[in-house]
Amino acid sequence: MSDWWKDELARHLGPVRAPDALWERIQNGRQAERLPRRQWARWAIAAVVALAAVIGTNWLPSPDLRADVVVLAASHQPDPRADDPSEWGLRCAPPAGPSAFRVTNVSARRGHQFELAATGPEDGVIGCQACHSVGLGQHHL
Amino acid sequence: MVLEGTERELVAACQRGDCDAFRAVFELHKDRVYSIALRFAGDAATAMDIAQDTFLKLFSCIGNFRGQATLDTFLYRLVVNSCFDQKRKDRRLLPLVDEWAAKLLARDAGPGEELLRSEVAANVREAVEKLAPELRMVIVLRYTEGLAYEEIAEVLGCSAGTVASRLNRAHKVLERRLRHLEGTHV
Repeated sequence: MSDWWKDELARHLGPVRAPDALWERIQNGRQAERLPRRQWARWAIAAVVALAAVIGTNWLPSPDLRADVVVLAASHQPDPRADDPSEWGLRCAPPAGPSAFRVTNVSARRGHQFELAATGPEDGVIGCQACHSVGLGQHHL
Repeated sequence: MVLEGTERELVAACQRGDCDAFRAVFELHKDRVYSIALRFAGDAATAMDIAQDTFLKLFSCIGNFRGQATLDTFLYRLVVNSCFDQKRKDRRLLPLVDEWAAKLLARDAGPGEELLRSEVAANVREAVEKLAPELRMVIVLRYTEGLAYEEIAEVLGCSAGTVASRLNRAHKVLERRLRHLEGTHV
């Protein structure tokens, strides 16, 4: 480290005057009444960030999953497993209705694996292997 | 015994419970204690806590002070221990959030911090705050207090070689973090 830096360190880390309130605090001999301001701000920000993370994880739409649905509507590639829902790997009852589902994409999000299927250009069915449920185009979106 | 006459008398008066002597000791050492606390902790509120804790410890255990070291060294040890204790209590689980909080509160900096307003000052302080506590403490004792290696070693209870090694490591880290500011004139 150059002398210039050592001078800068000495300059910016130099001694400062103690606040006058210090003696009063020592005389009182008690802990500060306040939650330190910095801690207060820290916990407030942490709470907001945690709340945003919870909301984002559970409620907000997943852009990737939406993109999968778009692909789903556009492609309709036949899948050899499509005729028999028991072969999809979904441990949940398939929805009632047309039986000719075609699995077109698989996407893993937030620890859940979804299977996306379509019965026609407008329909999207998502089966979730983790929670054993299915929904018509809106599941976990 | 290394105590000077006046200091010895002051300590003896404190040991007898003389309030004026306590006040005199406080006035003699308050800036030193507060400076170390502030430079180590990085914020005025925590520095006040550390300084208060240090003096309360000093006044409660001065009866045991036998003058084997100077009062300065004894006090340095107390403030160093208070800094490390505070650091342990105030574990930073969320360093990033800490940084945001520090920036949000930067406008309301405590007294004595106006010197740190410039960009270089802020960068230097931030870089020092991010050092590991052991490295940060040698930097503070060296640059805030201007202590020699041997004095730092006595305060920290290690060898002068260890102090030199820690300072060298701290300098390298700081140099790397502050390289982009080299040559800046504030």
